[in-house]
Amino acid sequence: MNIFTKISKRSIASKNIWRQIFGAVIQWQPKSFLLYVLLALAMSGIALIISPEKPINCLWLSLLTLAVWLTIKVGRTLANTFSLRKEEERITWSQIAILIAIGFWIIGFLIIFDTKENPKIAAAVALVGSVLSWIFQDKIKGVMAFLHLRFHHLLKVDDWIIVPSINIDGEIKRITLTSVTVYNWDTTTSTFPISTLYSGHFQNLQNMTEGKTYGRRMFLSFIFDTGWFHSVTQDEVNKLKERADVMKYLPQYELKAGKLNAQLYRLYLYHWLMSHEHISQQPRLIVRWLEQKPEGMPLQVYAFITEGSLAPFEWQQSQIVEHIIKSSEWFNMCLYQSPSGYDASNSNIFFAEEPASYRKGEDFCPLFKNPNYGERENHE
Amino acid sequence: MEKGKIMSKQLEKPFEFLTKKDGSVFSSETYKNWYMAHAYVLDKLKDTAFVPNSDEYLHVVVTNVDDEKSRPLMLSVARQVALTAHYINYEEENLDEKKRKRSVITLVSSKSKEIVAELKKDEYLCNLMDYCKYSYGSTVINKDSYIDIEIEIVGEAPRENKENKNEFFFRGNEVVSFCNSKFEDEIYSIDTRKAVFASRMYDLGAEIDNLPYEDIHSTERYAVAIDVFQFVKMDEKMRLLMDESRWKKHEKQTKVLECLSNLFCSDCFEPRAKAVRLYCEQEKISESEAWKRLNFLLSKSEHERWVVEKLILGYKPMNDMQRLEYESQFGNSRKQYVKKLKWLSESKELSHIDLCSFSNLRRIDPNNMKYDSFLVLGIPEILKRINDDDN
Repeated sequence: MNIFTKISKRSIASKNIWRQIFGAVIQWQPKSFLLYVLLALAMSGIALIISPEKPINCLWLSLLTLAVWLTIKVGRTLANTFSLRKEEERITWSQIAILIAIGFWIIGFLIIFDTKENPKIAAAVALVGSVLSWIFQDKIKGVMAFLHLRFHHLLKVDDWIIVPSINIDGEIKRITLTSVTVYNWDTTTSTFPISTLYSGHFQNLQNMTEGKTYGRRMFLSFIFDTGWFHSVTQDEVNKLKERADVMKYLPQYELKAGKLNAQLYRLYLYHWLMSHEHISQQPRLIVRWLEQKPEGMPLQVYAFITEGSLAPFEWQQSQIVEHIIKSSEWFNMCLYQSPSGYDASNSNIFFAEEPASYRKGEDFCPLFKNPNYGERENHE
Repeated sequence: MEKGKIMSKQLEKPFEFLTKKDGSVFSSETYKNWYMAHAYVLDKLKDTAFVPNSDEYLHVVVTNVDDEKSRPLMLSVARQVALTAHYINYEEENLDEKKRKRSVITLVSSKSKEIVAELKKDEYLCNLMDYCKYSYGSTVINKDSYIDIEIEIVGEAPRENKENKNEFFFRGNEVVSFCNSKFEDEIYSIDTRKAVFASRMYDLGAEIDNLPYEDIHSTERYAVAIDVFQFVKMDEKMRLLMDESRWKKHEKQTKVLECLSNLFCSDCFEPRAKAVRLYCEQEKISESEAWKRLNFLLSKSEHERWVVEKLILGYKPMNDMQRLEYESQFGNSRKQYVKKLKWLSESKELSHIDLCSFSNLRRIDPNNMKYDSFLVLGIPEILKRINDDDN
């Protein structure tokens, strides 16, 4: 590593902005320098064509191009460092510096070639400008989008965004004037024009995952078999009263014989969720029955889990689902599941003379409990 | 008094307004002990503060508890320590409860059960003993309590370590000597200016209701509120904290409790400001930046202090029946029910929905967290105003 590279890397690694700029300026990038040389030669050629009587314009134009090239080089180099450190303000200003440099180049060009006195040059510049604006219109839209999104703090590095129109779902890793780079959850990378976010719709879920909102929404429905709905008997009430888990979350005055078991279950579940340490009571917590379906009655849980990031959220949600399944048994409720081939062959609706050899136990289907299960009636 | 100008301290005697739960007044000695304890403890603990990552904690040893003459005073001292000793390095969520860095109050007494019964009286720690961790002998009660105060009753005083700046020994004769060395007004009256400003900050929290869901502790959210406080509320005419003319007869005791709450809250302003200054020195940042960064921790500490204060003033968390009743109500009837529980005229036992750990508050009543945030944001302004007026 030569001395310039060392100084450059050390300077870029510091936190002082001026040292970082110095480090980026002296950083040797051969391809970028070659590009500048080609540009400078092209600009010199253009200057000689436009004003052959003033060869000094070649020098001015080359110097102007050098200044702009340096600004763009510094801006791009530092944008990587700022993105790594998530220095949002510096990312924005580094991009704006590139924009300003391009603006100065245009103004400098107009001044060097004195377009006020040369209407032909002015017309040529205007024509070229129009054509370039048309060719690069998406880039220009991107610049406007960048300014809007950044100044309103709608987009930051490491934000989790979802863009449904282009199937993007991941974390932002890089933001430039014209594009956004996202690492998707399937470990692929997507780069797309920033104007997509401005003209279309996107969701920013970062505040939710950081716990800055009330929680992350859990919105699940469970279909219960209405064949199991019934009025609770006194025996069932007594059995429920013996369960400390139930009595803690069910008001005493609700637990009476004659009430629908589904109603008691919904009340129990609601109070249980309200007391759950990972469920936020705000902005809302709803446990409700939805419209009946052919399969049964859906019970919907609309709640907010306080953990926002993926793994803890899914863990908590799964634990809640498991409790819903377990506790439904206490109230003699059963979740609906459409019958499989195994269920059909083990049912007591016989399609064949002889029962199947692989049967489930006698007590499998209590509603249809038949003391003579397994025996064939004599229909003679 | 000229609007916007505070010519001198505003001395009041607020403790005399407080009565027992049954409506009877406390003895004059009780009030006197409260004032003495208030003056002594605030003076001794004024320089105690911790930065967020500090492993230190406050340890106060209260002696002369067995002596019948000095017991009431010393138990009042313990009460005042419980009201004051709340610091930002307390870790409620630490799984190892020994590492939570609670403030520890050690009472030296051989009659532990008797002392526990005394502490549960209205004039001392009241309901705090039912919820905070306390121990005597090998018995530990409420080991996993979320409250940042711990009480221990020991037979022998621990050895005094003068090198430990965060360990204090409070002796009966020292308390009496301290109070005798001051003017009567300095002990038996309290300057309520800070408390009045604190109450204005709470009122502001009630006025500003339309806050978006995001980031309850974002100081940018409350910037407008601070401007209103700084330029409007601070300039309002100073009034008495315990202003009976503004209270309706049936709400008197509830208002007294609210005003005392503001007073105890303002007692903690200086230690909080000290903690922020220590943090500035540690991180080498400006004070305004430090207040921003510590807003969350300060709000958390303020909530912890508020919980202890409410328990000492006679409130309790909602019991299971009240909780179920609360959950069964919706909309306005739910709000009315919560209000009913904390108003003395309607409840036999005062209950408050927000009497819970900070992490539970986040999920039960996040809208009320703004009061803690607002108050913390207002502290530098209040202290600056008081200092300017005193100079």
